[in-house]
Amino acid sequence: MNPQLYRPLVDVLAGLMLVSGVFMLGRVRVRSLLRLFAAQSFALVLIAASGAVFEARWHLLITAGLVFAIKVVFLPLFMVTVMARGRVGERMTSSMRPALSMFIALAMVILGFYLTTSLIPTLGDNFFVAAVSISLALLGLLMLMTRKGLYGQIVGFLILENGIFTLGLALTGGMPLLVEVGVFFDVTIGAILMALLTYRVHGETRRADTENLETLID
Amino acid sequence: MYIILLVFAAAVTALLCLLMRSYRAVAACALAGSLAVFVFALFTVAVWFGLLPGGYSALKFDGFGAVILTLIATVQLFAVAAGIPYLKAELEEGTITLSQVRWYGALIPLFVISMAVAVSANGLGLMWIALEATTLATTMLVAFYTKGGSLEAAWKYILVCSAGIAIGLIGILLLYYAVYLAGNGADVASVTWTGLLASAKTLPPAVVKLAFVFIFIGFGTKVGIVPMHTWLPDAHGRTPSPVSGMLSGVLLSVALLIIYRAKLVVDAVLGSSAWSDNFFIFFGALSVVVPVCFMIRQKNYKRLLAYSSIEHMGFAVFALGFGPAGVVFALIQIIGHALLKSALFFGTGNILLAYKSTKFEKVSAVARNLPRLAVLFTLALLMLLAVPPSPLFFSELGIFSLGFASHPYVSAIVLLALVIAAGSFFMNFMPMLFASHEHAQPLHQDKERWNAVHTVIAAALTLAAGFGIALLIGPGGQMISRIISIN
Repeated sequence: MNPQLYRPLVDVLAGLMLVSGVFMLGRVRVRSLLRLFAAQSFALVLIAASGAVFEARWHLLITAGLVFAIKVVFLPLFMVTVMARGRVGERMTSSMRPALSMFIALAMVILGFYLTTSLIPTLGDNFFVAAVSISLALLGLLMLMTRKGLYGQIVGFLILENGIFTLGLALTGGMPLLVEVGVFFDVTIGAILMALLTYRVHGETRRADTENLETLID
Repeated sequence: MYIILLVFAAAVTALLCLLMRSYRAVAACALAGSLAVFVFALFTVAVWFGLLPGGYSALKFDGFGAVILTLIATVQLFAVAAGIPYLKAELEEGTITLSQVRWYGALIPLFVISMAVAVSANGLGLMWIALEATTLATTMLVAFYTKGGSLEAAWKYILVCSAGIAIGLIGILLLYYAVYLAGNGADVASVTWTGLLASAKTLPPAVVKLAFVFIFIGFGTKVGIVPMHTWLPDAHGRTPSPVSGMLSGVLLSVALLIIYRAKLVVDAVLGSSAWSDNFFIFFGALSVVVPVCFMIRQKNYKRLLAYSSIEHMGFAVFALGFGPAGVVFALIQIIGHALLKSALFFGTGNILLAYKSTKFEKVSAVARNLPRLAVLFTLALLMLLAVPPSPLFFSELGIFSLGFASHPYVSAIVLLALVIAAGSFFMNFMPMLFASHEHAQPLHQDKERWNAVHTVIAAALTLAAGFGIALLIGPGGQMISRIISIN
């Protein structure tokens, strides 16, 4: 394949991840949020796979396969199943209106690019992907903080994770395979535990947000 | 070598606990497994110090880590022993089911494995995986009781800690990147603590400094450094008391050890510790002062102990900002805190069983109703407040003598905060132990019997006092500084 295609391809995919991240901040229904998350993760799969094909780092294919199996297929399906069994409404609550969250999301992207330029000056070709991943991490944190819906918080955590994963690809060309598998294992178990806790919250409060989870304060 | 046996023994214990059919069997299995873990941990430490032959290149050899591993082994043994009568009582009351006990028995060894690996892994990737696994293994223990706030505590715990550790991962990626930039590209596959220290001179300082900031903030969440501490009082207050003891006693120090190793790397890269010391002094002082504000009018005794853990860890962080001597005192502080705070948490388990409440206003006259526990609890309380021969007396004395020499104002504020903390302990705990109110009596008036909890608290007190006396006579201090110097 034409090696000159690699850089533009990865940049376009990273751009798609960023755009989907900004749109996720404006979503209020769980299913459409999870669809966007799956799409974002699929772009990540393609980034890892093109790294494998164009730069002959074949272990990235295994990484890509794992991301596909877990983040594109398993976790979204698992969360939809838990939600259906808990019989709670699809609509998520947030402490901000969707339009406002999207504006703040855009501000976060600018902040992310600014931070990347000033903090890590030696990136060269990888600048765009690194800036996207820092912005995604910031978007994930934003979602984690502003959402009251439990699913919104879980997806916020997963966006943060997607950002960090992309950063790993941009900075080091992927960590050692064993480490990546281990990190993946942890993230998956973490997301499953979060979904199970959410299910128990449904059982206790018939809700899927933190309205009834605000008793422990000093 | 022995660490592999440790992991194996704990994994087998976890599996067997899930298969057992009676409470006695689960308890026997858990205790046997935890004894095996204790023995293998001591062997591992002996290899580290060169007392036994053997060694394993994937391990990180340093004295600080060896001490933490010994503490993990000791406190987990205490916690399992203290848990046996505690869970038995709850099972008989019907608060929990046998299936919950099985899961409890399985999750504790997994928690121990993840802590042991986080401490001894040399590779940064493996260390990160193990540190995140500590959160995962304990989340379900925080959510152990299905009622009243446990779910909320567990939710906050997993979300805040996972996000924090994820931010720590950015720091680790940046360290990978620093190695990559340094040019020996083939080494990227194995970024290790020893490797980073060895090649420190070639690493780009700007990237390593940035990495340190991310690691400090990210793993600081797990240490409970203010302002990333919000999950800690909830999680430590809601778990079964033996687990609270392990969370407060050792898990916090495990995360602190990782931050300390990152500090060693950044200091080696910069050639001096001046830059990183400021972080430790500022955030350490903040982590002493802020929790004290929540301790004065605290209504819940487990939460009070949890806030005090933030304060003690904050003090250890503060101590790490004062060079090599500060590290010695920080380690003494960590050892004393691990033994005494876990003992106090085990004691709260017995109080909770008798009074059915974790609120100060519902508990009184512990000294009359649970006389044995009250004696041990008071002694542990006094030693936690650094009354000699407590090791904490020596660490606090040492840190203040260093602190007043170089940072007098900050040290004065920290000292004032410690005095207020001690005052809030007396104000809140003394009425609970020694006063008597009609509306705050135990639900049933059985005579107190000596059980494993008392034995464990007595053992922890003996160890702490023995260590304190060793420091007083002299050899203890030299021992600790020699341990620190092993890198």
